[in-house]
Amino acid sequence: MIEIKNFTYGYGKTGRCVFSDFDFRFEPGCVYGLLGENGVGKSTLLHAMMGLLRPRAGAIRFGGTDVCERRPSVLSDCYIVPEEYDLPRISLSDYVRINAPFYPKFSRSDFERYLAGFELPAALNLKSLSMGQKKKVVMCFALATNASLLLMDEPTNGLDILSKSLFRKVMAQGMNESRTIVISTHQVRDVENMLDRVVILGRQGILFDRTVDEAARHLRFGIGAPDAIFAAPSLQGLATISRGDGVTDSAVNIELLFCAVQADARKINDCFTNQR
Amino acid sequence: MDFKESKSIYVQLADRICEDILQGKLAEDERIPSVREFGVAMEVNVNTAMRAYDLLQSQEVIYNRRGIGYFVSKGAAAAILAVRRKMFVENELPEIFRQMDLLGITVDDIARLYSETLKTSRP
Amino acid sequence: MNDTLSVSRIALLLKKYYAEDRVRVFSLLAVTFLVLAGCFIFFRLVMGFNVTAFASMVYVVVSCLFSLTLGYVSAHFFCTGQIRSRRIAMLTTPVSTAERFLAAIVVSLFGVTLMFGVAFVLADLVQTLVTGGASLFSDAELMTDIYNKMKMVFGNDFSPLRFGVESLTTGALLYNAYFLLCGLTFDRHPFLIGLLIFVAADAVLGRVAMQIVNPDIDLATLATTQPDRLPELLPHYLGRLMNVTRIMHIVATVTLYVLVFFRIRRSQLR
Repeated sequence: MIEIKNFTYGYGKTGRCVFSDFDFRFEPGCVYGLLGENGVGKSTLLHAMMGLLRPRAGAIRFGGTDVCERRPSVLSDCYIVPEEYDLPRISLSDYVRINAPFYPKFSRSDFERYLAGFELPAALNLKSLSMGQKKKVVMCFALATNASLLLMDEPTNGLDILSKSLFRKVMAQGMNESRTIVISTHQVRDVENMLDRVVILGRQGILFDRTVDEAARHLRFGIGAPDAIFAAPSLQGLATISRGDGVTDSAVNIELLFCAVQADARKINDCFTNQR
Repeated sequence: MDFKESKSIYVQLADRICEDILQGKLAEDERIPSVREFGVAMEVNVNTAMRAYDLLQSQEVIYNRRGIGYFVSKGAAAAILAVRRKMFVENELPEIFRQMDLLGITVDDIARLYSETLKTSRP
Repeated sequence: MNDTLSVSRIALLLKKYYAEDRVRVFSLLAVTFLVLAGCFIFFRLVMGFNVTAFASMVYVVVSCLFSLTLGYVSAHFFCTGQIRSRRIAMLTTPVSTAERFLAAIVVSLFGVTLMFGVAFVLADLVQTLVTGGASLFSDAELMTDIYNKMKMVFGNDFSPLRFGVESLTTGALLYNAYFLLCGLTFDRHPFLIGLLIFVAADAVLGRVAMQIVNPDIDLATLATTQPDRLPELLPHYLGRLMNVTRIMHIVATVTLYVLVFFRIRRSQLR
């Protein structure tokens, strides 16, 4: 369980504060979708959760320990798949042989299963891989560490259409009740069926934080609804969001939800409070 | 103006299994994939797959044998048709009646069109 | 899991450096070797192993040249931490600060000491090949002669072991601190700080201390006015200089190492 309390962070010592007194909690067994406009601080939040950034105030605690202490016991239980990375120019088996021992929960059989899920052979040389293939390899390794916290920054960026489908399959295989997975992305459609909870970050903090199920019950997504609180043109007509009845499920269009929240977060959030 | 709603993912997933049962691809008492296998195959969150299975269980289309897996219930096809019948009457019929009212189509018109269609489709 | 110090994790980290960072570490050592070899060859060929001159030059020329080149090269070419993605990988490796620190010390200490020895041997080889003179290691008489001269220069309590240990502790460790600072902490500023500390400890404070301790002996004036008294005064002078600067070297070394440790601990992605 990751607890963020009073987290205040800015670039340099006097730069603009990206996060100000920010509070949040990530629970285990949940796949979070972290959405937000460019520059709002999604990557910054992910980096901070790995102890890579020192806050000006507040702390991020993973299992009770401040992540900035960079204790091996904490670091070996979390993993980040960054947007860009460099892999050393060695063979895959060597890479696993060297790096797996740092993660006590690493499972070789899981790793091979995920590799197969991505349709990658086991005998690979990292220096001859394309960007997309490197990404897939890192994701397999990340899942195989069986870390309790898995952070992914734009995981589908650079993957071809088939690979995106394989990504979803591998993610479905890798998620479980003890793991927290946070996917930060702009490509909502690539992952929308994988998410348990949607968190939309704005410049002033959290704009929206609800489970997909709650959104399905308290909002109604459709085409051309007369009582829409938000509408946007789409290929099928006017895509609308209306207040739901709190009981019936509707399909959730996360992209539309994102636009609605950016336009007027309060109106959307009001739908979740019981009105009598 | 049309007012269309699309179904939740888990409902669509459940429908998919129902289709397979109705088309005879899944037999009674046949084992269906585990929740996780289904989630992986459909590329959805495992919790969503679980909801689909819960829905089908509540409709008595499938049953669970603890530790072994999920199986197609006896009489699943009949159960599915019963559910669909109910949904047709509750959801789709009112819309058809509304359209009929709007377009000035009577019940007799419908009956006539129905018997004509029946004659041409069944030689 | 022991969160602070685990020898097995240090071993794993060293294996990782070797497997993944091999080129970088070897290049760093190669530069070390080239600089050292250059200096030693210069002294052997040009100075003809004039022990006196060698001894008096060693702290100033070799050290400065050495640390300058190495520090600059480390800071600019071997700070892979400048590349964001590698920095993330480095900082998220599950090792503690102490383990990272010790692993780096093992690499640089071992490497630099090795390079020192190899460069020394190479200079000897070059000298025998170029001038046709005897190799230091083969000529027992020459070795004894040099040994005696060293004793004359550094005082009677000179011993090769002591000289070696002192050079290593105050010299090599100090240089290693530069590698650690620059290579591990991802920026160039520690190099400048380290260099300043070193120059200050040696050139400035050492000279100042010397003046305070021996106001009546000024080597520069002596060299011009009474050159024949130099052999007699030099050991005394140099011995004093070494004693005074030794303390400062140790203090500077320890300070730099402590700075490196805290720098590693506080290092961030940005």
